[in-house]
Amino acid sequence: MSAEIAIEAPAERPTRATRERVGMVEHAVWFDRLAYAVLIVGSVIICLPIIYAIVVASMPDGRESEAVWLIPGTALFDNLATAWNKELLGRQLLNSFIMAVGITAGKILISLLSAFAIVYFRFPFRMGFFWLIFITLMLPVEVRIMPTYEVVANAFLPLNAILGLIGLELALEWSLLDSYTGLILPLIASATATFLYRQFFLTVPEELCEAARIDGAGPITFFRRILMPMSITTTAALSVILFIFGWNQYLWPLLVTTDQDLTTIVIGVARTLPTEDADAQWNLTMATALIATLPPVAVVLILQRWFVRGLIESEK
Amino acid sequence: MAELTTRGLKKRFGTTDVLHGIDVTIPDQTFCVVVGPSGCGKSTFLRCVAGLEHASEGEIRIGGRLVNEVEPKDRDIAMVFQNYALYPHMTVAQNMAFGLELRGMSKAERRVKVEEAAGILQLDGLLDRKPRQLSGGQRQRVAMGRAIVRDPALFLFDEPLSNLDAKLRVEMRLEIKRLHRELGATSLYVTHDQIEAMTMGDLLIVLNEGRVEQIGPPLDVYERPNSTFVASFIGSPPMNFIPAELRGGMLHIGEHAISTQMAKDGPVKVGIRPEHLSVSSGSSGLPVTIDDIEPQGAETLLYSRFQETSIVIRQPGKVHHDGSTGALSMDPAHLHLFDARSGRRLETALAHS
Repeated sequence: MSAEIAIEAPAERPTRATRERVGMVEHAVWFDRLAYAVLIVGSVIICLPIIYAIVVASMPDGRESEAVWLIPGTALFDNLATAWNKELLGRQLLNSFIMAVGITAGKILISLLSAFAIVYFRFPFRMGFFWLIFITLMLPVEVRIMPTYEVVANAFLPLNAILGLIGLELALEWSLLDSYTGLILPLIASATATFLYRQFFLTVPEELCEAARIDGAGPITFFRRILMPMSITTTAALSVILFIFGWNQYLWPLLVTTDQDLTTIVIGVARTLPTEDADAQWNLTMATALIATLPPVAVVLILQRWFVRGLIESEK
Repeated sequence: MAELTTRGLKKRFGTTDVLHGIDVTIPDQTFCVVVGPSGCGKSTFLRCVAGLEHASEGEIRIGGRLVNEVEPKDRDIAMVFQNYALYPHMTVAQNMAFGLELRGMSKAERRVKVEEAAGILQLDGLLDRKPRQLSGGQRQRVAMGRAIVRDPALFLFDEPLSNLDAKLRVEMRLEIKRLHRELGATSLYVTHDQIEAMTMGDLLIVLNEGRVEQIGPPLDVYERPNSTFVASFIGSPPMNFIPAELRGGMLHIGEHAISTQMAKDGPVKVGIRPEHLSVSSGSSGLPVTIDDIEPQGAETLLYSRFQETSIVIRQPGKVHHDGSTGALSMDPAHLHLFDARSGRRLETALAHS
């Protein structure tokens, strides 16, 4: 409905007259100045580390300490090239990308399906399941890292244990260590996304589901043809957050991968940090970090346009 | 095209009975309006017929076929919802064609059907728009288009005009009547609006608390209401009720008496429509106090009181009434008698006083 209002009453320019009429916007001069001050301080806090990283990355070897003056050096592209060649950055970027996309896609798929089940189906213990999912919010991977590792090291472990209870001694083994599956699978349950989709589904008018039933749509058709397209805005917004969450994983990949071919870029950055027996090359570390930042930035830029468009267009 | 019948249709939600056994027969090609106050079960009745709710007891037959256990999509029905329930991400054409597509109709056939329906509903130029780019009236047309393309045996309307403004409601009312004339499909139309109830249907069903109060052509219901409930629900302003007493073949209203041929004695309620009353400054008639006069242009409403009972009088044209009292006269031919306790109609023959 809000979209309709926007169509019928094109946004008025916030002239002094309208502002006074609306009576919500404070227009004292000192308030404007305060607002600007807050915005400037906020921007500086957010931008300074990034600018500093770029400046450090642009310094020739041995002159990194001069970066405190925030005057860029001349070696940015040399350093980027050196960093790129020093480690298998291409491979690491690819690994990170596969992991982040896998986690994003997995989380979205599972959350969509579980939210669909919880909102649209009446089954025993429905709310119990919902709260069960909800309390996993309190169990991020850092908390459950030991049992999760054990299960990933042998995916049949729970099965063996259950069969052990009924007296069957089995020693099935299936290790997910050093595999993309092992990187992705333990991270794809998402209470947050399930909750968001649930809240969205609850706003979808019930009549839509009924109209679809009369039109001849079964649950799967309704889900695929009506609900999924309708939640595209939510999905786009979530994808951004989840992709960055996946991309930033450090502890879990560090634990389950030892293979060089499966190293992710975040671990790659960590590896360029100074160790006891090597000199710090901060310009290269920063260059690597810059490279590692680019894909999430790209995702934000691409999807942001998408979901802003969705916000303007969609009715619900 | 089909007849709709229900036999002993009951619906229970948990321990609450919403429908207490509905028996109706709606002949083929009839436009039937179901009316009643909110909470009377009229929407539940419609939803049971649609198959969106499962009937707890009783039979529902569409075209003779028992459909209690049939899925909504297989009942050969189409439904128009109060809030339109259009798919927001689809264009008008896609909205209308969705049901056809799910039934496996070819793209070319769908195109023909949609264009045909768009022609009937004057939606021709709007087929590529999204629902949010349409006005309320246009959205409701699309919702009807979605029903029309399916060519169903039975149309179900769930208060389709309640979300529209007054002017549009009048237009759409005529539009739906025209559509019914053109398509001739059996229709079940649920509303709480008594004007829609009076003007739209061939057949009117008045529901109250999950029971059928009265079924019949709208004017019959208006002229011979079965109970005080129907009498006060159909017609605006509603029928006036004056407490009275039957004694020795005479109907006593205050000081006045009208001779009847009723053998019964006891308290009754006399019902009379506002348009069958007139007030004069003379002294022959019931003495009433006039509280307020509302000129409405073509007619005038007078709000008056007789003893403790308020009485609305509707008189054509302008009324000049001096003073705050008057004498109320009524046409005995238009009196309705109702049992004082149960509110049921008492069949009667009233003579002139």
